[in-house]
Parts: sequence; C-alpha cells; structure tokens
Amino acid sequence: MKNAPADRKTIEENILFIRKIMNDTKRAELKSGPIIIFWGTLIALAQGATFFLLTGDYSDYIWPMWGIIALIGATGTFFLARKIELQNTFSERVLSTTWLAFGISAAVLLFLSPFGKSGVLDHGTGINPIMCLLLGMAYRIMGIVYDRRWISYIAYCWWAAASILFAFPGDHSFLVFAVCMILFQVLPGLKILGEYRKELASEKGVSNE
Amino acid sequence: MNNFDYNKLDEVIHARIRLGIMAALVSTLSMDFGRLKKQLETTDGNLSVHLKKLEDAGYIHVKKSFVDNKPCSTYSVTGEGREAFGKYVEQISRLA
Repeated sequence: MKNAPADRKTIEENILFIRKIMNDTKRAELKSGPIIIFWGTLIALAQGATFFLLTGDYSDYIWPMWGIIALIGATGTFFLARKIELQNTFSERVLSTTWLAFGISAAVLLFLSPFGKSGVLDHGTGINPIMCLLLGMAYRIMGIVYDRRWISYIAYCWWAAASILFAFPGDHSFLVFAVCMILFQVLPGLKILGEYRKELASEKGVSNE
Repeated sequence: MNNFDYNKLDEVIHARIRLGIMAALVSTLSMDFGRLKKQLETTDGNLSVHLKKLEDAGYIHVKKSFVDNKPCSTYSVTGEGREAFGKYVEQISRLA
C-alpha cells in the first residue's frame, strides 16, 4: 500500500502540531525566570546593605530596611506575575506554593523568631544558614517540577552554603549569603530566562516552517 | 517511505484536538480546562467532547474541584495514555 500524499501531509502537520503544543506547554512553565532574578537581586542587595549597616554601627536602620524590602518584594512579585501571565497548571501551583511557603517561613524567621525578637542582628547571623536550608528545599522541588537536573543540583549548593555558614558564623555571613544569592539564584534565574527565550525562538521557527 | 496501514494509527489520538490535548498533557503534570482551551484555541463544547472521548478511552484522568467557589476540572494523562501517545508518536515519526 502506497501512502497517499494527503495522508503524508497530515502526518507531517501532526508532527509539527505535537511539537508546537509540547514546546508551548513546557515554555509556559519556564516563565518564572524574571521573578527568580528579581528576588535574587533584591535579597542580595538587602543582605549586602545589612552587612554594611551592621558593621558601620547603623543597626537601627536594618529593621525598617527589611520592612521596605518585603514591601518592594511583594509589590514587584504581584506586577511581574501579572506581566508574565503565570499559567494555572498544577506545576505552577506547586511552585508558587513552594515559594509562598518559603516566603512565610523566611518572614517568621526574620520578624517573629527569637532572632528577630532579640533585635535580629545581634544573633541574626544564625538566620542565614537556615535560609540557605529552606532555599535548598525549594530548589530541590523546583528541579523536579521543571524536570531539570541542574536546578536540583543548585539545592546541594544551598545546603553546602548552609553547612559552611553554620560552621563559620559571624557578620560576614550576610555577605556570603549575598554572594550565594547571586550565584545560586540570580544566575539560575538568568539561565531559566535564557531557556524560555530559546524555546520561544525555536517555537517561532517551527511555526514558520 | 515505508508502507503503512493508516488504520493502525490510534484513532482516539489521531484527531487534531485530541492530539493537541495529549501533547499538552504529556508535557506537564496536569492542566485545567481553561488553560487547555486557551492553548488549543478551541471552544468549550468542542473541547469537552474530545476530553470526554479521551477520558472514556482511559487516556486521561479528570479531577473536579472548586477554586474560589467556581468549578474547576483539572486533567492529567494516565499511564495508559502516555504509553498510547508514545506509540502514536513513534508510528508517525517513522512515516514522516
């Protein structure tokens, strides 16, 4: 039996269609890059500022600064989420819940824990390794949801950073945390954004074929 | 091109909308009705009919819940559906 040209055309169209739908679905789930970069940059700056305020004897300004950071973070996330139109998929719900849980845990640690009550930064360096542990958990989950092994490996980087900061506590931990934020949050966010743009470009290529 | 009996293709998946549904669902954990409709650029009625057909074939699973007091149907592909889709893609890839 010889395949009719019309059938062959249908088959080719179906293959392109499958590729388009699958790319579109996967691409939609990589949209969160800008939010990851935004938070990474914001927290890195805040941690750096905390170090300088602490060592420069301006600790009174630390609390108001973190209040402002929280406000900027919440507002920025709200607008970014609207702009990039996060999809209501199960994956997105898992991720948004994971990051929300991280945010609540971080806020409790920062504002309500004994660290905070005692005037955060007298004993506050202990917060940084705990934050690293929580970030490790979040990245482990994100790696599974995005189905990208390299994201899962970032979790181990965060846990390694936590171990180092537990072993060597001190004011410098704010700076170390800021550097970790750039390495393990901003850079991965840029990579996720790059992958999103790459898939978007290849998608346009497919649709132009 | 190899000779191939087109009747061997899985008719449940071969229809364009159902193919799109399967392609979308195998690429993610699950997807709600609204997102599927947007992605496949189809109507509520058309999508419902095709979803039902896939559900009857055991290829997808539906979970009905309420979000903000509104009914929400979330679809995911079953193991059987994933296997059938993989087989279908393999068959048409050989033909192209």
